[in-house]
Amino acid sequence: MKTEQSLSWKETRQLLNEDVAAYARFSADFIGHDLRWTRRLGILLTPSLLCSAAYRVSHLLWCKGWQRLAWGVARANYLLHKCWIPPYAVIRGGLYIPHTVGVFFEGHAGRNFTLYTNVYVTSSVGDGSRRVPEAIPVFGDDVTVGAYAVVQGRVRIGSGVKIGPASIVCESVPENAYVVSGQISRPVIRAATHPQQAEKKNSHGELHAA
Amino acid sequence: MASRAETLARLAQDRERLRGYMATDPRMASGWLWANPSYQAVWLHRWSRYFFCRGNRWLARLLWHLNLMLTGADLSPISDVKGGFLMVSPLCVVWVGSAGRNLTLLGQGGCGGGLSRADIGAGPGLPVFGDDVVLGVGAMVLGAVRIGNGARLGARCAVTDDIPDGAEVLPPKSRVRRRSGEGDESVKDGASEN
Repeated sequence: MKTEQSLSWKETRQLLNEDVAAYARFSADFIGHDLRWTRRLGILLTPSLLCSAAYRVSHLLWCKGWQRLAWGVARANYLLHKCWIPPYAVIRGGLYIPHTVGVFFEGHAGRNFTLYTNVYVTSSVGDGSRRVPEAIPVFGDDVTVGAYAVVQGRVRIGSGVKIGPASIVCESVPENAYVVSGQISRPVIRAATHPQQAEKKNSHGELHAA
Repeated sequence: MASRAETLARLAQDRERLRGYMATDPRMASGWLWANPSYQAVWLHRWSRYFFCRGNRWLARLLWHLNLMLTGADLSPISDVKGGFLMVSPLCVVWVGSAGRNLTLLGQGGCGGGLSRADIGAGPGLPVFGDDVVLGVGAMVLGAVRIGNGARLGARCAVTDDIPDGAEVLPPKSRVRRRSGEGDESVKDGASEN
């Protein structure tokens, strides 16, 4: 995927409309599927969409060659939403960031990209003190990245992949696969309440549910 | 203690490291150093620390709070971090503890007090870091522990023990699973087998 591309204001508005549609799709269960202009305006004023809009504008400015201004808009976005999406990141339509806090996204993403809170996607590798601009994580279409996930380095995430919460991804993931974190907490049931499970004690003396 | 000369010297080392980092990516050349949250966070922390050591607690607190609002980094003025502090992203970083030279933080996570109140040089219950330590994304060090020189902590690890010099702490492993069927059911199965 190219970093530099031509992008017009009209295309940017189209992308934003797709973002609004993605938000409406996710919120339909709570508020119903109503897309009158008041609802669309309401969606556009959520932190989620303001963040998307700021990114879209900064990316447009970047593509038009106004780099300083693009950085300014991205920094303002950071200040307001505590979310860092640099102007050179490329994200296609249908971006959905329900909770913007802690999101750090330096990568390329396809359509209908869902990004949960505190996700960290970076091209910094190794000890982190240098950048490898071409080692950018590239995401296909319809990818979901769960909360607190980390995606690092030159990896390619296939279309339809779901990255589970708190996963750490440093290798490419094939299409439609999912990634499960080793950190997912297991339920622990005390011996007093379930004596029949006493033989299932682990090394910490805790009991694992079957 | 952070004198004015010491604060300026440390800031010069911080700038040098951040410039070195930015120089490896041509796209970052168009950004000003002063507009970079990584530099803003370190700058505000340095002067917050300076005023804290001079006894101007209110000014120290003001800069600390301003740092939290502007950059999202909570860097306590009681923590003494030597020169060459590089934070790739100051978002959601919490830092209470001492560190040596050339500390690298990728973002999120940080360090702070644990359950014990033992003082090993950074204050009650706080960790002490050696030189050239690298913390991956979201790595946490909690409690009065020593992290050796050149230690590398992987993404999202939580450390509550001493780490020897040059050691590497690996991040928790994640597994890739191919979806066998359609829908969420197989995702659920994968998670419970894990």
